Amino acid sequence: MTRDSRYATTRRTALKTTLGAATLSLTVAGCLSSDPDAADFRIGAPWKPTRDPLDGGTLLRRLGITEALVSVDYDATPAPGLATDWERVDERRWRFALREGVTFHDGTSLDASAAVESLRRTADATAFADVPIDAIEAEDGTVVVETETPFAPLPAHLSRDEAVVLSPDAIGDDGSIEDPVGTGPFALESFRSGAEIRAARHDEYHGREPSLESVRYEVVEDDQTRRMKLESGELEMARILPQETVDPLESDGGIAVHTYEVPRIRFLTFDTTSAPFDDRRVRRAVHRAIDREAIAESILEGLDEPAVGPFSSTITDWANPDVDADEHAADPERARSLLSDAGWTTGSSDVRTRDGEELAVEFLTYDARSLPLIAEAMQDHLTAVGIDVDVTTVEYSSMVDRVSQGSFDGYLTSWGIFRYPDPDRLTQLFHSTDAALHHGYENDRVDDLLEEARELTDRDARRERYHEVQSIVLEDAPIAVLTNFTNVVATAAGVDGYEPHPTESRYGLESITVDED
Amino acid sequence: MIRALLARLGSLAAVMATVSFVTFGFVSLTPGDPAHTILREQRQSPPSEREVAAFRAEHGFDEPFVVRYFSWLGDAVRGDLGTSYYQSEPVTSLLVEHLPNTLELALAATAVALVVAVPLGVVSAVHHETWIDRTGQIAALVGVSMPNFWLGYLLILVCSLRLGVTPVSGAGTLSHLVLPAITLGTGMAAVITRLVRTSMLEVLEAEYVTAARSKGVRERLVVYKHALRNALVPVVTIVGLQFGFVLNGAVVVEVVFQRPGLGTLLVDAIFARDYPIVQGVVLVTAFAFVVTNQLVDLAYVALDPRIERGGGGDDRR
Repeated sequence: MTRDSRYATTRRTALKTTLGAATLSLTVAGCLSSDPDAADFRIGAPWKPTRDPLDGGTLLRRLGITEALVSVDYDATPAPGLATDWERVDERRWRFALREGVTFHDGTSLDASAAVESLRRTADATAFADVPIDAIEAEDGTVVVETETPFAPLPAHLSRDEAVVLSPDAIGDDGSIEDPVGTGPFALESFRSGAEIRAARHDEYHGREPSLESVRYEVVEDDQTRRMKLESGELEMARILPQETVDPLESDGGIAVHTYEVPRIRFLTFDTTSAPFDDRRVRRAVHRAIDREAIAESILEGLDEPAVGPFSSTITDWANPDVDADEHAADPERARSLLSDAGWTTGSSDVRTRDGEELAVEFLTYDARSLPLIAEAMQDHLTAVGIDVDVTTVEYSSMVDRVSQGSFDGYLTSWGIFRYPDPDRLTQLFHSTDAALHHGYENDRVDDLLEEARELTDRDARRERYHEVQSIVLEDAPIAVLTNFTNVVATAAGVDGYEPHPTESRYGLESITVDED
Repeated sequence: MIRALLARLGSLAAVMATVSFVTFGFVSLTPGDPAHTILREQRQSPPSEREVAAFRAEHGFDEPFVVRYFSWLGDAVRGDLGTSYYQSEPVTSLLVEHLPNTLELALAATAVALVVAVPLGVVSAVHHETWIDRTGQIAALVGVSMPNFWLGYLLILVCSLRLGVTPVSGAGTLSHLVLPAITLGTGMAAVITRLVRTSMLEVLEAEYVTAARSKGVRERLVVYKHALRNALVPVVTIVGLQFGFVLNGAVVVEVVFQRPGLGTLLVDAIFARDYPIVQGVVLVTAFAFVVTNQLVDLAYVALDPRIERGGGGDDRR
């Protein structure tokens, strides 16, 4: 072999290897990516789906793939779901009667032992760490749940997206699941993690038969992209759009824009354990100085309502009617006098001082749900009464780090208030030891009321206590609620029958029709 | 031969081990508790202390750093990269699910870059110091300076919304690939154009090119057969290195076009503090870097006869 030809062979081989590798990877790539043929109904939203309901399960529930014993009604109260009825047999025992003729997507039928198996899996999970379930048993075709302590919010917890009932065949011996096989109007067809869910009509659905044959949920994180996809006909429903898109979209022929209040609040939490917010008067001064009306109008396009309490009376009658934003309009004069009472006085500068110390605070927040803009607006309102506010916008987890170390004055955040549709949620806001919120607030009366109300069955007796809690915390102001929350959802031309659900526990796809023209 | 291969495999293993240790360390130092972040993400509302404690126990957070690293490494060697905190799925299956989309994008972008850059670079060099050259230079400057995300949105605005020829976002078909590939390929094309031009200018001055010309070889042949091939050696190096950066750029482009790929997987995992995924993606990226560099070495041999694998010629570069 001559020297030249040897080189030639090496070169050719090398070139082939390189090209071959490239072609191969392209082909593999081509084969593995699936073909997105159009579904009947395509939904775009920012939330990432999870396959296992225990990891959240919100989207599986909203799409109507999974169902729970208890559903949530359009008035945000627990309502019959896979259980037609339930009773509190005694303080710690509940009996749920199962709906008949319910079939899982894999063809097995729902019975008490299937429901028990699925619910035990839920009860053992991290997601149910706060629910004191002792035992779940099948008894004469019903499901009996025993709690360690008397626990009125049980049905509300069983309505959560993690408490959905899955087919026993879908649950592995180690408790893991491959695919969620539920009982809803739509059955899971395919799942791409972080990207999409496809579902097809479940022909043996026990309820109203959907008109849509197939639906597709797609993760579209960027809100402008969601809007563009709706306008270009790549989506039939775009969820959670920015407030400022409402007007332009409404003027676009055919697109329908739905704006509706959801049980979610934006609020400022104070560190009640250190100065200056260890003084109730200073917290109340902030509360009075903030012009919620202006925030709602200028930043939220007038869509989100000002609020001073955790519950909105538009959504639930757990809301104390006396805790009304209209009666707590901005009152800078009152704020100033509260600050003076607390010893913070005006001198030569615009910032108040006490014992030579300036009234300067830092508010933490993170970039979501218009919070940074609201923080800046608040900054103006507070400067006007002599409080110097520094706003720091950080990543959510960094904020939580700082807050849990206690090195903060106040932080601005947003909570879904009906993660389970029961006012017991207030415990996680205001109880001195059980709160998931770091504010150091301790009020024995509030603790007692929350603990009593959690145990009681009688709705009126519970409501009385929860109303009192709301009045007390409005006075004590460990948090300053700022606004409620309005969701903006747009549907394409020809889409009919969409009714927004207040707690968003379902999209209600079974009642939606699409007119092709 | 086998020794060389073993040495390369050895260096690969060393690189991967170092990379994994460093990422593990940095990830542990990052502020932000995964329990709080992930539980909140799953529920759209902050978790209670009991839930946080249950989550930490479930995922073994309470172990010391070194114990966690070595238990992770032990599993990783056996092909088990752990389970995502956020969605209880094995990291390996998430990687297998997301890798093809990114690979597809990276290759398509590289193809776009080469198709544009090589001819443009050659033409610029041949017409050195003319308006053609200057236009090419300006175009390259614009291409290099333009941020990926901005170009991406611009393309969506024009091609998807105005003209309606491509989908706004998503992945799966060839039409979904066009805009991301152009977006990602543009920056790379600009770099390569400039490189091809400089390299060509240098080669066109070489003696053998003058010799070929004086032999009466047609100019076309001189440029494309004799000069271009030699000018491509440095280009291959850069394309190889750039391929790694393309994986980087894919992070931004995938987010803009909402393509499920390693980029989106990584960004979400970082924000959610889903550490097993961050580890997995970094490992795969490191692996891709090392392997591309090996392929670049192979490509040298193909392009330049003076470079021989394993040989000890005087002309080796």
